Amino acid sequence: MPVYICVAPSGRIPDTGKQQISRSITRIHCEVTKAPPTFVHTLFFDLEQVSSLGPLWKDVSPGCPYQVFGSIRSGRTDDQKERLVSGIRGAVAEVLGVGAEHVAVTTEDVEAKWVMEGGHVIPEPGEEEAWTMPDWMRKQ
Amino acid sequence: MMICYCLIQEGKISQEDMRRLEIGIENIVEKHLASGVTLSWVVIPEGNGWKAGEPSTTSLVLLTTPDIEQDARTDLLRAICDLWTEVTRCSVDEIMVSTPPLSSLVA
Repeated sequence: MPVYICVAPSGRIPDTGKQQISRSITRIHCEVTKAPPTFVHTLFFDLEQVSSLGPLWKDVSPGCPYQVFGSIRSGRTDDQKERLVSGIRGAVAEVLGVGAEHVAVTTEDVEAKWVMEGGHVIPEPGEEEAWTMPDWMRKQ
Repeated sequence: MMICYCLIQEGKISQEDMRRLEIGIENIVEKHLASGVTLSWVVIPEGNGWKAGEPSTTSLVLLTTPDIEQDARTDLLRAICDLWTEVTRCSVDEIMVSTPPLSSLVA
């Protein structure tokens, strides 16, 4: 967590752009939230596949060719969410060489206490230090 | 009936282990939630799953639940993580489990 799902019609995002996009999303998410990059997930799916994702996907902007849906921990401020959306929108557009109006991004809050990653229930925003610490250090 | 979506990276989990995981999740849901579960697999093709900007080996599991106390939810999360690491021999950093209450998913 977070999990960013990027969707476009089949073949519209070149394989060479996927790592660039994943790194841009990771960088922006970490800059905005100060969260560690360790658990920033970016997944790519063809538009035709999204019906198989169930509640993991919500239509961001039907008709928009490039869509990004981010499940992020609840507790982020509105300002942080706006910076995430605008930053990711711009970065994806830049990598793909399209206008930002062709990229739609939204986020949805997920309660940290509902999620386990790295063997621990994930912490609330701002309490990540113990989460990313090795077990031997956490016990001291 | 609960629903469970298991997203796995292409080529990382064998068919045999997928079957073991299915049985394990069914048993965990029965034990922890006294419910059945409908399970769907989603395979993320190679080159389409990334973590921290690098190719990902992580599985992501989403299991809906009724409204339950946090202690019970933590036990459920732990049980699924333990199942996953035991069956697939992955590390705890290669499994993320989310258990949103069904009530949170209803618009």
